[in-house]
Amino acid sequence: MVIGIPRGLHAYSHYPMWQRFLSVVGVETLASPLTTRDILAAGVKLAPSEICLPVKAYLGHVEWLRSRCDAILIPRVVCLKQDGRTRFGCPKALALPDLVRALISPLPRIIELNLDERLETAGKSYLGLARLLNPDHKGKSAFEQGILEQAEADQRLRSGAAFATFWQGADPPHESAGPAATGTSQKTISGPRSPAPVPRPLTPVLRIGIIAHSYLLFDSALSINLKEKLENLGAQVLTPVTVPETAAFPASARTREICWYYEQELLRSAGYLLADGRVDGLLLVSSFSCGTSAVINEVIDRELNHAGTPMSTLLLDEHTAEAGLSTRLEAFVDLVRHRARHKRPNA
Amino acid sequence: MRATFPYMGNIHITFGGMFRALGIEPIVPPAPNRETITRGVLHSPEQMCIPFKYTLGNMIRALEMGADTLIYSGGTWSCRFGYYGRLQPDILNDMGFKFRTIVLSLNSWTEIFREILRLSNGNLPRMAGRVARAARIAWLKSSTVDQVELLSRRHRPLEQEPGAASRAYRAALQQIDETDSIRGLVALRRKIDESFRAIPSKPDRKVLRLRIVGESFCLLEPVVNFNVLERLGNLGAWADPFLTTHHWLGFHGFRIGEAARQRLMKKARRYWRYNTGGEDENAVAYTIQAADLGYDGVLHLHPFGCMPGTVVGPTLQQVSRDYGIPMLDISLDEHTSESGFQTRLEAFVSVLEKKRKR
Repeated sequence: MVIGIPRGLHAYSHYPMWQRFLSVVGVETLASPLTTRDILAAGVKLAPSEICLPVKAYLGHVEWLRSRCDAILIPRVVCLKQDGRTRFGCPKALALPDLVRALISPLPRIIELNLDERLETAGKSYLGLARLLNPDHKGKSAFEQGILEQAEADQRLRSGAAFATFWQGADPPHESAGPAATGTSQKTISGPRSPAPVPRPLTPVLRIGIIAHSYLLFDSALSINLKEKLENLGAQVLTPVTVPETAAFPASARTREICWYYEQELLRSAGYLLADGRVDGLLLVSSFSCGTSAVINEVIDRELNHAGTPMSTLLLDEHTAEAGLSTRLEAFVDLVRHRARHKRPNA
Repeated sequence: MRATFPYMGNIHITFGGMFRALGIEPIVPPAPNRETITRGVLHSPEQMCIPFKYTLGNMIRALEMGADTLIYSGGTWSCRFGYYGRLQPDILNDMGFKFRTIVLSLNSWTEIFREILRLSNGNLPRMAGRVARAARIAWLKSSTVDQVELLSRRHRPLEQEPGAASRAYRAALQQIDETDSIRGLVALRRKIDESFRAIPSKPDRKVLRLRIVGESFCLLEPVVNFNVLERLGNLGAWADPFLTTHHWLGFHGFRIGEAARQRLMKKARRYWRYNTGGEDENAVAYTIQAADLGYDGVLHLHPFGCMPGTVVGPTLQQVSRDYGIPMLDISLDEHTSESGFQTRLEAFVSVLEKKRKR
C-alpha cells in the first residue's frame, strides 16, 4: 500500500515525523511535489472562493495524489497540549478531512490522523494509526523514531539550514529515479518561479523578521519566494523556525490567552524578535481571509511592539502579482534601512 | 454600575430586564446603523469578521452613553468569537475609554457573585431574592420575545394587508421591553397571542417552508442580515431559523435542549466530526433535519471570512446534494449590498416555487 502525503498545511510542521513513522511501520509513502502552478490552479478550482490560500493549495495536492496512491493521510489536528495549556487548531485544521471529502470525489481511502490531546496523548493516537496500517507492528519504536527525526529536522532549521532540508526522503519517485534523495530535493524547490542565486549579504546587515505560518512562507509558490526576495535585497531574514526553543514567552497577559497552537508559536517568535532590537523591521505575512492572523496581528501590534519597530502587513492570495509584491518589499526594506541608518550609523 | 453587553437581535430586552432586577443600570446602545458599523470598522482589524465590527461599534456607542462595565461571554476555542472579550477591551482602552470588563466564564463566577452581593448591600437573603426574581424576569421576557418572533414569522406570509404582522411584532416587543413586573409579563403573553390572531389572513395560501442555518450573529441580528426573516415573509415564505435568541441563551448558557440536539448530531457525524464554532455542526444537523421534515429549501448565512462558516460551506453543499434539498449560501459583511441580497432571495424563492409546482 502506498500512502500519499499532501505537501501542504501541517506537512510543513510535521512531515519528518510522518515520513519516518510510516516508513518504520512499514508502509510506502508518496509525497506530492512542492506546489506548482498547476497544483495551485487545480486547488483554486475545487475550493470555495472565500477560503485561505494554503487550504486551496492543499486541495490541489490531494487532487494530484488521488490517482497516484492507495490511501491519503489527512491529519485532523484538533488540540495539542503545549506548556500545560490546551491549544486548538483553526477550524480549517479541525475539519480538513470533512472538507476534502465534500469537495473531491472519487477519493482513495482517507486515513485520518486524529490528534486530540484532550482525549488521548499524541503517542496513543500514533499507536492507533500504526495498528490500523500494520496490525503486526507495535508502533512504539516508530513513534519514538519519528519524534527524534522531527526534533532533528527542527534543530536543523533553527541552526539556519534551508527549509529544503525538511523534505529529506520526500522526493517523489517520478522526479528522482536514483536514491540520492537529499540532492534532488534541492532541485525541486527551485520550481518554475526559481529565484536568482542569492548574493552574499553585505555586512553589517539589515535584519528583517517574518511572522508567517510555515505552510505559507516556505511554500515558495504561495509566498512567491518572499524570503529569497528579501535576501536578494540584502536583508538577513529571521523566521519563526529560527527562534530558539528556549526563547521565553512574552509576558503580556493577552498573548497568553491566544489558544491556537501555530499562532502561539508565532506570538512567541514575534515577542522574541521584537525584544532587545533583534530585528530592524518585522513583516507580518498572512493569506487573505486567514482568520487567526486577523487576531494575532492585532495582538502583536498592540501588545508586543513596545519599541516601535517598523512593521508591515502583507496579504497573499492566488491573485498576488510578483511585481507588486517586489515593489512593496523594496519599499519596506528602503524604509527599514533608512531607519536603521539613523539608529546604527554603520548599517 | 452602568453595564453594557454585545448587542445582538432582541437580546437587549432580556438582559435589560434582568439587569434592572439585579440593581444594575443597563446601557443599551441605539439599534445598530451605518454609524455603528463605520466606527466599528474603523477600529477593528481589517480581516476580522463582521460580528466583531458590529459589536465593537456598539460598545463604543454604549461607552459614550456612559457605560462603565462591559460584559462579554468568554471561552477559548477554535473560533474567533472567544477572543472578542479579550481583543475589544484592548482596542477600547487604546481609544482612551475607562471601563471595567467582566468576561463570563467558569473562572469569573466568584467575581460576579461578589459584585451582585455588593449591589444588594452585602445582604445575602436580599441578594438571593433579587437573583431569583431576575432569573424569572429574564426567562419570561426571553420566552415571550421568542413567542412573538415565532408568531410574526408564521403570520407574515399569510397576512392580507402587507406589513400588519411586522407592526404587531414591533408593538409587542416594545411592550415586553417596557414591562418589568412578573404579573405584567404573564398577562402580556395572552394579549400578544390575541393581537396576532386579529391579523386578517389568507389561510389557503400555499407557503414555502425555508430553514435558515448559519452563524448566530448573522441569524439573530436583523441589521446584518437585512431583516431576512421579514423579507422572506413578505416574499410568501415561512422562514424557520434553527436558532433564536431565546434558544441561543438557553443553549449556550445552560445547555438546554442538548439531548435533542445530540440525537440530530448523530446523522451529521457522517459529514462533520467536530464542532469548530460558528454553529457549523448545527448547520449540518439542522439542514439534514429540514430535508427529513420536507422543507423546500435551506438558506445558509455566515459572515464573510468566518472560519467555520467558510469551511462548512462545501459540506452543506454535499448534504444538499445527498438529501436533494436546495441550498443558498450567502456571506455577509459591511459591503454586502441590500439590493443584491434582495435579488438573490427573490431568485431563490422563485426557483423553489417552480420546483414545487412540478
